[in-house]
Amino acid sequence: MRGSIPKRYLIITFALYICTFIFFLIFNIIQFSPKTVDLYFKTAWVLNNSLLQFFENLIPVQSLAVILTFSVFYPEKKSGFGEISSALFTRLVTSVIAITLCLAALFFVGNELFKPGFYSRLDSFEYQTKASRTYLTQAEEAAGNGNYLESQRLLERYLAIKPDDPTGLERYRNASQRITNQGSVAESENEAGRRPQQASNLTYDDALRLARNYLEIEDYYSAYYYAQMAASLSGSSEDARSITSKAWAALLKSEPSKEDSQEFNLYARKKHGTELLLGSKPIDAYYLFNQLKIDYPEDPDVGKYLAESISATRKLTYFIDEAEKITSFPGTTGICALNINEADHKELLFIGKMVSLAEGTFFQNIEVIDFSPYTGVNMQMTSRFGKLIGDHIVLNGIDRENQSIRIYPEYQSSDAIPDIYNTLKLNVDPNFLKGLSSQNNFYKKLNILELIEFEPVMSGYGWAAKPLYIEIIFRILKPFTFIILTFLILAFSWKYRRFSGKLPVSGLVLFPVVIYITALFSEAYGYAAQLLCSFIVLNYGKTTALGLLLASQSILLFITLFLISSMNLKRPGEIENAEN
Amino acid sequence: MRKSFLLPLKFLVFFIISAAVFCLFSLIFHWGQNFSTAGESNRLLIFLAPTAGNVVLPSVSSALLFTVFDYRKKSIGLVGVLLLTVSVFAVLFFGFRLTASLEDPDNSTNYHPFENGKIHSVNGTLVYTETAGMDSSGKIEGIVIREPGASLPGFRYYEAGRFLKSPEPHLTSEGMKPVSVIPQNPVYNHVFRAPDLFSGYMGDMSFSNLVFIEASRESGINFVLLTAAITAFLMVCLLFKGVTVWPLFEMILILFFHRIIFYLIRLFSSEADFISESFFGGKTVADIPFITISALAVVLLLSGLLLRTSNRLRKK
Repeated sequence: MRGSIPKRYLIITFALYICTFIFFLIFNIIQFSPKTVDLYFKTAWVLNNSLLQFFENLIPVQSLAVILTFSVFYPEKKSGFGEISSALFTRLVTSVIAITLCLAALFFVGNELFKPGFYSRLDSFEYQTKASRTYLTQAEEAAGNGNYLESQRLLERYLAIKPDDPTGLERYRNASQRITNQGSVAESENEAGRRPQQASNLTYDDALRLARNYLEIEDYYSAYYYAQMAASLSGSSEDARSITSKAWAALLKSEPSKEDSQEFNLYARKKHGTELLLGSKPIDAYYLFNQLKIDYPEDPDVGKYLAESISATRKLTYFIDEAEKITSFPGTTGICALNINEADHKELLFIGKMVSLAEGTFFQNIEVIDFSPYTGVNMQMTSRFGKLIGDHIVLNGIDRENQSIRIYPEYQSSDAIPDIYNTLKLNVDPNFLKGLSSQNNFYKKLNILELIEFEPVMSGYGWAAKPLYIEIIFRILKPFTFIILTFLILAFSWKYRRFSGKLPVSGLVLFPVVIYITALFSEAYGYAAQLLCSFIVLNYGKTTALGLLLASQSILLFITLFLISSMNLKRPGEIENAEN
Repeated sequence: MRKSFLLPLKFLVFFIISAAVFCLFSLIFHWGQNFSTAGESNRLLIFLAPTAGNVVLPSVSSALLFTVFDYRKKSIGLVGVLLLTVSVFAVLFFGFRLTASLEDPDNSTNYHPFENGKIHSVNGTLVYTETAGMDSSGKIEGIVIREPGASLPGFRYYEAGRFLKSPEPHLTSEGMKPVSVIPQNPVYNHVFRAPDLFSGYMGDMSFSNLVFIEASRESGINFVLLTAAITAFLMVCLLFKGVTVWPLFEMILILFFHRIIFYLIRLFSSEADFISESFFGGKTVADIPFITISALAVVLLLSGLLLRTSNRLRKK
């Protein structure tokens, strides 16, 4: 191989990186099992797992690159190590050190940017496989029992996970066809309801402006509505009251006569709906406008106020079908925290799963136990679903069509039901919820910035903070491990480099042994660093530990640089001969 | 000649350094299994007994490698080899005898797996404890348990319970399904867990060390034969030094042989019944490690000699 040492080092390093990635790619393709991950996700799973394994094994791969560069493929007599001066050799090695430092920086950034995402995605593939298989099985059972509506619903969830799956699409078409044939009332697509709605957070000025605009175009109904809204926002406003009066007068003039019963019926119901909306009863208003939409689909006012009522309803409750959507998605599972953490009053909160969607953050399988450690349980509550609104979890859900279908939280003892029983005050900062999972190794799904953010608050929410702090230290330690190990192996590789001549055939055949021992040695070093770090943190506390560790890494770095600086161009045997 | 006498001294120095390093990390590992923030932390040296036996073999293995590969001359004279062999045998023999006599600290360790007012995840079971069970009875107050996959409601409250160390560490209370606390340090276990490849090596090494320690406690010639066999094996591995043009490769190869022997000792011991019945007409398990080491030593001896002879012939 031609070229200077730094060039060879770079070429060998990147060649090894590519070979390593290809190896893991092939390995994962071969050992992929459709038992845990569906074939639908195979490509993505293989890619993510290969990249993850690549990053996990980057340190031994780097060590191997150093061994090959300095022990095997170093420049020989012709280009002349024997002809290179010590000064030049030192400069070449310095270039290698600089390259290694750059690679260490890339390694650290890559680990923190990409690895957490790989872990999360791999988990999500397993979850989505289980979920999709369950939905398909249940959809088939429902279809077998003649319940095509339920089958269609389950297939919709299945297709949310695998949108272009031909089996799912075909079964969905069949179920829909059956429903049409049976003349069943399919779930009517309430356009306003299906489209995600933005909450109407109008200011006084916005509401007044809209009222004036609608008055000008003689939409007296809307003018009346927004003027009333402006009036309620301002407290007292001459302009708002003026528009309200004008609009009301115009409405009275155009009020249909009672003989024209259908139009009167529509008018009366719309009026009642807006009164409900303005009277802070958005849920009742929603059902009214929802029904009006079915009865009078062409009326523009109905569509507009239906959207308004949905937006207002979402501030107080959630739609059950929106909450049920989260069963199709992976999320943060097994969240557990002390929602109240006082000396004689504790409240443990458990959330089976948390998922953030466009419609908001939803929770599944919520449980709360309120107790005093010395007197026992005060209250225990469960809820199938919940939605985060502000700093509360709203626990009651409503059905989009059927007013009588509701989800309420269940209290285990009727004596202990609090006054406000449909919501739970969340004393845990919602941004920290994903850091409070009880899943094994969930730290791996968080990057170092998130870990640093969570560490100070963990203890207050009921979890020991030291393990998290140790994880932060590990992450900081990794690039040092990368550098120190590389330099150590560089010195060793050079000291025991091959003599000139052909490489032994056994070296090629037994190259996997070289890979294995290098990997074992790298892991051993990394584990030793991990043990030392943990011991220091747990014994001496955070600040002292950080100082001690930085000092220890500096000392080790110094030692390895010293070893490199004392690298000789001649072998030990040649030195002895020269001395003699 | 003088350098030949320095060899065993060098070996001893390297052994002491290696043993100190391995011992330190092994102590930290054992300390970590029993660490908790509740109560007084254990001193490191309490764990010397389970640790000391585990460091003899890896220390001898690494010390021998350092000694031989640091040797500047191409080959070691016969005197040097003999002295080195005697040193290795002596260190192994007395090392295991000494470590076998140390007492296990199980009863004297201060060990509380739970922390005051904290949530713990123990094999998927969520356990909240108000107190850590610091007294000798292991009483813990204010317990809330949630089993993995429990349907709603899953929380169970218990006014008090106990953490008991035997027969296996577990948390128990009246009306409660005992919660097994294995691994025994749920809060810090993952912090002290070894990576996969290295944990396999640790497991094999621990098993092999245990074989030697148990043999050293028995009377009879078994321990002497076992020590002699492993000494012969370690020395025979050194035949591979100088057989190629790449010294680092030779070092790696010898390390690989050291790795393999511990793996094979564990593998064949676990299949002892099958091997005994099939090949040795029902001989006892204790013979399996000796046979394994001796067989591999013979194979390496023949391979090493063959390689050296063919090298010599090629040079001529």
